[in-house]
Amino acid sequence: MHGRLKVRTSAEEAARKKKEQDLKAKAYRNGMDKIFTLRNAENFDNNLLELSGKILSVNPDITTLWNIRRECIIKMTTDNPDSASTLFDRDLNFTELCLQVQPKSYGAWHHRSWILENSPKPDWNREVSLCTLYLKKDERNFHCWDYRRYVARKANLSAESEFKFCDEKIQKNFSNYSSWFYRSQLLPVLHPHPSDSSRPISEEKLKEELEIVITAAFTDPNDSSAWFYQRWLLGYSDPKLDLACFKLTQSQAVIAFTKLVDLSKDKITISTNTSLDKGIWRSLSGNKSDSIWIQKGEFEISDDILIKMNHNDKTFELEARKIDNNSIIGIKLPSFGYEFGAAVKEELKNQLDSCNQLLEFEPDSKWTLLTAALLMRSIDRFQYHEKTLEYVRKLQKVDSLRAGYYMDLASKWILEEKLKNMVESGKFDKIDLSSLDLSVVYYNQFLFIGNEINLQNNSKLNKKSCKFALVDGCKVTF
Amino acid sequence: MATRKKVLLKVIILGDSSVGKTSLMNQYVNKRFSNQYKATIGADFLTKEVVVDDRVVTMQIWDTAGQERFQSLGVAFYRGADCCVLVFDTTAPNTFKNLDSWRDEFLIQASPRNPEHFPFVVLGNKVDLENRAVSTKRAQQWCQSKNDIPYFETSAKEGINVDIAFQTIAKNALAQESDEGIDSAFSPSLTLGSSSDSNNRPNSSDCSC
Amino acid sequence: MDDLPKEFDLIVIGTGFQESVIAAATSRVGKTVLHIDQNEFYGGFWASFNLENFMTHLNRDTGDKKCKIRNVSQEWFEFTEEKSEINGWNKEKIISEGRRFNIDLIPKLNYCNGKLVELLISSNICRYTEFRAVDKVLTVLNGKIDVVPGSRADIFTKKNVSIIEKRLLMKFITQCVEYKREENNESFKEESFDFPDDGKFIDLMKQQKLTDNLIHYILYAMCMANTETTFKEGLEAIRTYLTSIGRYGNTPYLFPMFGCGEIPQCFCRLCAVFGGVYWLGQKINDIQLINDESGNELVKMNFGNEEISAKKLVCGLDSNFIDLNQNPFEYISRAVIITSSPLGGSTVNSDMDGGGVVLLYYPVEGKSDGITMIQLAHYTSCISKGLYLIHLSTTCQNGAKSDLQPFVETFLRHDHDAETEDDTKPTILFSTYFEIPSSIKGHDYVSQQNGPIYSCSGAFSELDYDESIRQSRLLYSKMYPNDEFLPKAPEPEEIIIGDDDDDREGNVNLGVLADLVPENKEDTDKVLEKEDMNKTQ
Repeated sequence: MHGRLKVRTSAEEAARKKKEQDLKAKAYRNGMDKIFTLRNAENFDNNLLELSGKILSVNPDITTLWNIRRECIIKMTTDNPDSASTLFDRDLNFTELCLQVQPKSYGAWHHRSWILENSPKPDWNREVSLCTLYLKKDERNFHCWDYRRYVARKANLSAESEFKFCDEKIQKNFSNYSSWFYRSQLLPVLHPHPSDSSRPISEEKLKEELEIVITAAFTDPNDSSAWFYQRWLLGYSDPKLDLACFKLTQSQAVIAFTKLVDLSKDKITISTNTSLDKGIWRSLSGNKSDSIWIQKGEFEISDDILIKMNHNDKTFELEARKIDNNSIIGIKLPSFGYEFGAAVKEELKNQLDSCNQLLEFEPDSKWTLLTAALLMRSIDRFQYHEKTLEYVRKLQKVDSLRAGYYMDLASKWILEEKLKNMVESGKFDKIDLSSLDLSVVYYNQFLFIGNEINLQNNSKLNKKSCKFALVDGCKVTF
Repeated sequence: MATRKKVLLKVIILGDSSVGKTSLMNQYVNKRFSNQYKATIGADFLTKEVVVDDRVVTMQIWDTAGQERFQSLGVAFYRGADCCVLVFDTTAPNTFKNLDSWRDEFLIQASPRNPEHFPFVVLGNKVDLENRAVSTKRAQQWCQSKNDIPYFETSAKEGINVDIAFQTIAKNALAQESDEGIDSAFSPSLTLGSSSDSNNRPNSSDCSC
Repeated sequence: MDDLPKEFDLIVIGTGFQESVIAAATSRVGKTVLHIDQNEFYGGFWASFNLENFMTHLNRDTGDKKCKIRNVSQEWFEFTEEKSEINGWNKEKIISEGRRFNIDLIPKLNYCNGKLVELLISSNICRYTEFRAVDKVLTVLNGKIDVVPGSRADIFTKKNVSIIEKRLLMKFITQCVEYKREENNESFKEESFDFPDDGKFIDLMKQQKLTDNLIHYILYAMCMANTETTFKEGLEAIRTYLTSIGRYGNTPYLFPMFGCGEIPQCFCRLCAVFGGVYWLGQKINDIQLINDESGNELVKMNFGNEEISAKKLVCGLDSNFIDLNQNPFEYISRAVIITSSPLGGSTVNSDMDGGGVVLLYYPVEGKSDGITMIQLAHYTSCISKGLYLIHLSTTCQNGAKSDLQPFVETFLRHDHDAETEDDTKPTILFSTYFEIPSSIKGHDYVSQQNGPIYSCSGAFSELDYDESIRQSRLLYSKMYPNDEFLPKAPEPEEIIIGDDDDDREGNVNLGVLADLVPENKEDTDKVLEKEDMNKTQ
């Protein structure tokens, strides 16, 4: 066999690997041991930095070692302030090597920001370049995106340049929550809505963004990141705080808000110029935060009441009228979404056309059905009410895995329509919500206004969602 | 200031057959020596992590795999070298004379950007043997005449000067490496195989957070 | 001491792709190999050269050899006093930089998920070379050069494709990837095509309501097919394309850094690592068949002062010992063109300066294969920064110039007239045309070969190396039916050094942790003791 290449057998190689592993483990334990001995003896010096450096460069995820390293640097710079810049520079280089081993190391990214915050002359622009580099390697490294937002702020980078950067990343790969998110933070700075502060961005920009997002959705409907962004654009976000509904009877007052509030903490003052102002509001559920609050007592039912809410120097009003000798009620129809201008509506209509065109080829395409439904609701939720319901009912069938989600969506839309009709008609006494195939009840804040609420024949209804039923004087039949 | 990158240095070893190229590599990396001479079989490249000026550097030392025997080293062998080690046998004057042509061959084939300042290191090997035929002075003179190439007298067998020679090789190769700026850490060229395969799938369906 | 052994298991003459693969595979399983090339360089018809050597090689007098490069012509742009340079380049400057060029005789790309990449990885030969992902795939749509939206990102950003087209395109290609022939697989059936295997691929696309533009992208640019391509062929092509995309880059192709000439050399390196002996530039005087004492056939070869015998001998298409009757060949028409601006001008090059590697497949009417264009920029280390190396190839029909003219006349120009400034058409600064021998796809090269002298096929007229690898495997299994073909080569640290067995245990590589290993037994014990304590806690 002279001259033939000899290779270890797999057993021999396994033995070699095991020996290597064992020795590494020993080296690791020995190193950690030495580090703790030094630290306990408060021997904060180069030796400690070197030892921890060796282990961290192999495994940058050991948080304890980063802590010890910071402790050590603080000690060394306190004892010898001249050494600071050398030490900081060294650790900047060091974290970079660690990040090459593990670009998603919490410890290494955090250590970097600590160095820079403590460094006398931090070079924030260099950090931005570093992020650019790492995001080039992996455009979805969210550790790096977080760090980028932080250093871009420190470096005073313009929103324009950061937006451009985000845009490049989206073009490369739009399955990127971090980049869409950053985009949603930058756009309101760059293109604020000129008149309506509740709207994040101007109509012109909105139109462009809608185009981008529908392109992403058509390219890869299975990617959820674009959908989330579309929701944001179309305004499916938390409602703004406002008064929602009020009902006063002889024994209690109920006031409801568009979102959860904690009246003991949130600096909300309610004034009615009645005896109510002296009483105590308690939440319906007993929780600290609630959207429905109740005051018990003996109340006189006399005149109409103007309820004023003050929050953050803003005043919100709700007019409550006496409708009979037993109750004074007020209701404010919530904004179910943005009212878009003509240009945006035009764009939404074009997109709806495209969806409908596609539905001719693929009548069962779930995401096309859903997009179309959402678009219709954004154009005119009530005009298209029946059609949108038809689409989600179909979705319950073709996408049975998410049937529950679609049912909830339909329940929400049905409630919106009912509420609107109720407010328009001005009739609140009896609310008929029977046989609507509801799975959940939204808009609890408005429903206690009725005296009798009929929820019969909704076999899939989650009764726990009907919190308003706890309000005294609300007769609910299931 | 350029961003620090994890450094991989490619070092190639050149010189006549049987001057001890493979033995030097093995002594340096594996601390082993085999006395039995045979044309290099199985020698490909060896890697060793070294620390140079506070930086961890991976040195990849490439053997000729015997292709130098009949002057048949292809140009592919020379690609991307960061340092070239020229080896001769201190007991065989011809191997010393041939250093000139090995150096020329390297400069032609590798065509480095800056041939005047490309880092070479010369090793006079087998100093453990009695029948020395190339004097230290002669070797040093040659090295001086070629832009002061560092020169070491080594014995792969006894392990003499091997470590310090390779430490110098790593240091000079690293010094040569220019501050190419922030982008060079992730060079656009791809090496196939497991390591680069996994982290390069932009369309994979894994978590996109 | 340096005497060449007199006997080998195998002699290989020629260092083209297939010869090198056979040499590597044979050496890899422990057989002795002598690998010779009559040229001074590696690669034969598969070589890459710098500019000077390229021209010398093309114009070399190869005597009455039958299988050789033919019909070579070359031309420089006529630089005048008024027009002394174009974008800063003239003849002298190009020649002076030419030392750094790597010009392929036969340029090829590899599918990221193709047979060459698979073989390089499975054999561990991948460590000997580096690649660059092809940056862009172009096509000619309605007479204009256009970027093919191949990847998801491209489709997303593509401007002149409507959102409905985007959806149709994405849906179609997703369906192609997921398509399974098993009819009984219910879950796939719903989303599957209902179409006969031998139906026309183009008809399937029409059935799926794809628009003309989309059909063009898929048929010509992604599949490099034509209107006659069947569903089965088309599906296979599009699947290769799609499974290759995104693995290393935004297109499905790779190009070797420093040119395709590196590829055969990688296989040679493996052969050498396993003991193969290399000797280039050797004129072979004579090859004879003899019988040894026990009556076995041997091959005896004379070259220089050497007389070597071997159990088997393999020769390449470029050696004069090949039987051309058994190994018929044809030609590939080639052009090598140097320009100082990239193809397609600013409209397709907005992102970077002309891209690194660009592929364009140009169908030619009345010809079964079109013209393949590969444009290389400096990122490949094949050309200087600011210059572009354009390779054109097609099977030879009426001679290189005539075969390639449809492309050259449409997308390049010979003049440089400022008046007709059209930045989409680069000016040809240098061009050379030639025809290079290639093997015939579909011909049976292997089954009639019974040794002990075997011959290799040359390059095939294909974009990648798939057919060449298939032929190499066939030939190897004919020669050594019982031996494995290029099993994974060991990592350097798995190799036992020296003849002593004391290295069985091997060396351990602890990296930076090396000096943290407890030095003496006491330390180790202390650590272990502590560990025990931890465990009991």
